Amino acid sequence: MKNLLTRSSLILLSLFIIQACVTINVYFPAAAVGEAADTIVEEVWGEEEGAVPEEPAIEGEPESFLRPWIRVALGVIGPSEAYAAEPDIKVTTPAIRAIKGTIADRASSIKPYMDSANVGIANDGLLDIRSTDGLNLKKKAELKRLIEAENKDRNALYKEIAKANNFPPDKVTEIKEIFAKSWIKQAKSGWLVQHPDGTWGKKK
Amino acid sequence: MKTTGKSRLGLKKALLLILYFCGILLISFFAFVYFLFKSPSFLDRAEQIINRQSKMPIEIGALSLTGWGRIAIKDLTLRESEKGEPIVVIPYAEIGLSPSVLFKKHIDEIEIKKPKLFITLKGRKDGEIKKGWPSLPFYLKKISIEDGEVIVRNETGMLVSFSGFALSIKEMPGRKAEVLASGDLRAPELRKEALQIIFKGEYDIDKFELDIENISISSPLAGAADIKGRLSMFPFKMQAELTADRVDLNKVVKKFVNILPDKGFALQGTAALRSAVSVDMSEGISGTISAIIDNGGFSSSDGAMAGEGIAVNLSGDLKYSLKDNTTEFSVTTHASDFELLLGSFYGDFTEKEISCSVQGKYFKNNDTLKISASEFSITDIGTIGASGDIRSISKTPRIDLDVRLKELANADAFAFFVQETFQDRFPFLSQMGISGKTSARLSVNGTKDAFNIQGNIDIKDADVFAEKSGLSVQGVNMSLPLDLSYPKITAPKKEAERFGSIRIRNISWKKQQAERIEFYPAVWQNTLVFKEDIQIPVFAGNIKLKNISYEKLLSPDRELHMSIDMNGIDLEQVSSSFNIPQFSGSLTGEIPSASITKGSLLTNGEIKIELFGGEIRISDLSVDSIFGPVPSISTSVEIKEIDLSRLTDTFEFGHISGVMQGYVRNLVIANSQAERFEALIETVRRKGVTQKISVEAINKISIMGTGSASAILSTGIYKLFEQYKYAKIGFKGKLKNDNFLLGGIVTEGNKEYIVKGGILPPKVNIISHTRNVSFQEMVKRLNSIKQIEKGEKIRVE
Repeated sequence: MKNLLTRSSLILLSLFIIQACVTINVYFPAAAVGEAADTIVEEVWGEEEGAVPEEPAIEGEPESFLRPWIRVALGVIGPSEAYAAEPDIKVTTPAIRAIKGTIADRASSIKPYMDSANVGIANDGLLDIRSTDGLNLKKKAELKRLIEAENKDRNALYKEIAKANNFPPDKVTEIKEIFAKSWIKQAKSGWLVQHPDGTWGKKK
Repeated sequence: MKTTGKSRLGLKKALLLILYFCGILLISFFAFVYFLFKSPSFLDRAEQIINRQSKMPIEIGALSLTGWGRIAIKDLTLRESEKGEPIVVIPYAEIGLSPSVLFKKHIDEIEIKKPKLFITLKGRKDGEIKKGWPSLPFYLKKISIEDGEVIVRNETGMLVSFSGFALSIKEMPGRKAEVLASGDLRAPELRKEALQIIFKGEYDIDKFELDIENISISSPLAGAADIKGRLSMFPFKMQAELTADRVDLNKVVKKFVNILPDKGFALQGTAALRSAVSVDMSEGISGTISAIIDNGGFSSSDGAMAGEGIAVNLSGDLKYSLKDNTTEFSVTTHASDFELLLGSFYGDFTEKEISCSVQGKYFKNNDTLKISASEFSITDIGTIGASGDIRSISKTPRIDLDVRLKELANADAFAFFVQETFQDRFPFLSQMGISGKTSARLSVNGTKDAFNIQGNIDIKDADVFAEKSGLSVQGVNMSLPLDLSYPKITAPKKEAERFGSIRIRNISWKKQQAERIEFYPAVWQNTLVFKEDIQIPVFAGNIKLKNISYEKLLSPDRELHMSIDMNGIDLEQVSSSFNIPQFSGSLTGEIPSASITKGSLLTNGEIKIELFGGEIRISDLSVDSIFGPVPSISTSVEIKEIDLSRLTDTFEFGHISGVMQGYVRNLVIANSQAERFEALIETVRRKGVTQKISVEAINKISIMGTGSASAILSTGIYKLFEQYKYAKIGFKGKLKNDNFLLGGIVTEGNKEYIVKGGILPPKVNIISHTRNVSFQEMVKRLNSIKQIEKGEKIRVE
């Protein structure tokens, strides 16, 4: 009888332990980053570029997006899979604002080169000099400096976004790809863009 | 006398007999000659004769008569020695001769078809050139060669070859011979390109001199060139002048000179060449060359490097000595009127001229180039010179050079090379200027992969100014010893042996002046070190930089280490200089360790600021991404015993009396804005210190804390009061991701008081209702402080 009790207790304990287990799937919030990217691109390279608007107030607790799901995980009553909901993405810090301001200021200098197909939007979220046809040497140097500075700022922007949202550094690549889609989506018709397969063409 | 019919018949018979006899003799002769030529013994005999004459073994395949006075020779092979390689191979030749002059050793003509001639050049250790001419054992009127091949080689391989070689030497009246030759010249250096050469000249048989009327050289790629000159045989001497008016630089350099960095690299423009060459076998080859390039240019395959509109004027002398296998040279070049693109550097040389000159000697035997003098200069900027040796120049060049920079004009060099190129990346450069002269004397040793630089850099009378910041450094004189090794130091580490000096007449910044500053630096073993601590007198105090060590200067991972002491810095002067409300106090600090590694500044120790009767201590100071687009400063601040009366009066915040303390921890500032912090600021009661707050201050705090000012304080009975007593003022705050979580300092139930009024009326409380304040909201509130009439959320009890 004692053995039976012990056995039953062990089975119940095991069941409890099994039920108390939870697998937390923390996914990269690509959709939220995409929305944030759209907003930023619109602000810095939209029709009224150069005038970065003040940031909208960010609702909710300013903590890691993982936190609600940790709570869900702790409160679960059986083996289950939890999926991280799309959290708010923080795109407003002093550093991000500064970088956005610089990118916006530079936009009017870069856009003529986009119009003349000297520069294209690469699928890594950066700009790429595709051709220097029609440019004299002074303009070529100016273009190179512009694109170097722009890409340096863009890389810094992607890193800051990752930092502000506590993403691990390896997520910067994904952020860049998501931003690339936004840059390309909001590119003007006729601008050179890089397709996902790496080929280049004019945006229709 | 009469001849009878019988006697006439006898004469006829006799004549017929003679004719018959002669005919038989002739037939016999021809039969004899024919069979003689067919006879192996005759061939052997002929070979022996020629062997004896030429002193070379000869093989003849066959001899035959092809007509009256014409002998055909087939498959003739001439060797230098019995078992040596053939030096002449003639598949077919015909010799034309008149029997009448045969025995006078006269030959009318030799026609040689498709011969192959192998010429091997052998170095002579004694430096002597063998004199004499391979004299022919017969007199020859004309020789012609058709479709021949000439291969000139040395011990290491083929030097040049002629294909389709044709030669005609014909005797002319007056002991002269007309020489015509043509062929396609090939050489390994020409990379499969053939130069078509047509030679026309006249040979003086008695003087052994060849007058070169014209050598026309043409190549589909390189264009045409003409050579004229004179060549004498004993001793061998030659003078020639080369003229080429339109040499396509791209085609020539790509084909013939292996100096371009990649396949896609292209040159533009044409060159007009003039060259005079003199060859004297007893001395060597000497020559001059001049080249004028109009509208030249270049471009790399990726377009990152390019030059356009380059006008070059080159002249040079060259002397090759056969004796010691050396080449002495002197080249001067001037280039002007062009634009240059090197990556993000753009240089407009339309108003500047580049001059370059090199004098030196190349020793082929040990593959060493000795540069006796060289100079490179740019108008208005300066000159750099070098001399020394470059060993193993054709393989892995190893340099041992003395390099001298002569009076570089800092202002022009900075504006031309630095400012425009880097100001996008470093905007402060656009506001900067520098003057004075820089000179250097350096010794550079090593290969491009590992080298050492030692020497001295001197700056004279330089002024540095930055317009935007107002910094001006005047009268800089520097002598900096250098000892750099790339990629790293291999010698054992030791103390610097020699220090230089930096003397500054005056530094002015923000109304501050510091005069006669002097310190003693050295770049020693890739590290910038100072003999003594650096003292910078500033704001009536001084900043002492100690144990400065800037390591791994040539590595991207360079590290700066030092410790810093700050003493007696007068805050009144600081506030005055920075145009902020003036306040008194002093700043002292001791940072035992400050280091910049991988773009981040880390420190320990703390800075103590004594002001407003209390003190602020700043610790854990660090700067992240110090060279990035947005550096961020991190620190923690402890605030103790600050007299609020003095503080609020200074910053025109209204008036608050009392004592304040608190902290701001984990403070991160980027782009001059707080990015993150945790703070607690509160007033503390101190004996003898009243705690009162003015209406203006109440309104400002209420705007900061709640978003709006109170209207009630300017109505009713409250209009009578200018200030209120309080029990406590303070807040707890946390900023992260642009969200400011604001809490009061006193909690009662669910109320959090930012200002908790006194016990007795009139009193005022400010209660924080909106805990979360966004960045946008905070900006709005700060802007609203100037319009403090607004506000309805202040609750006054």
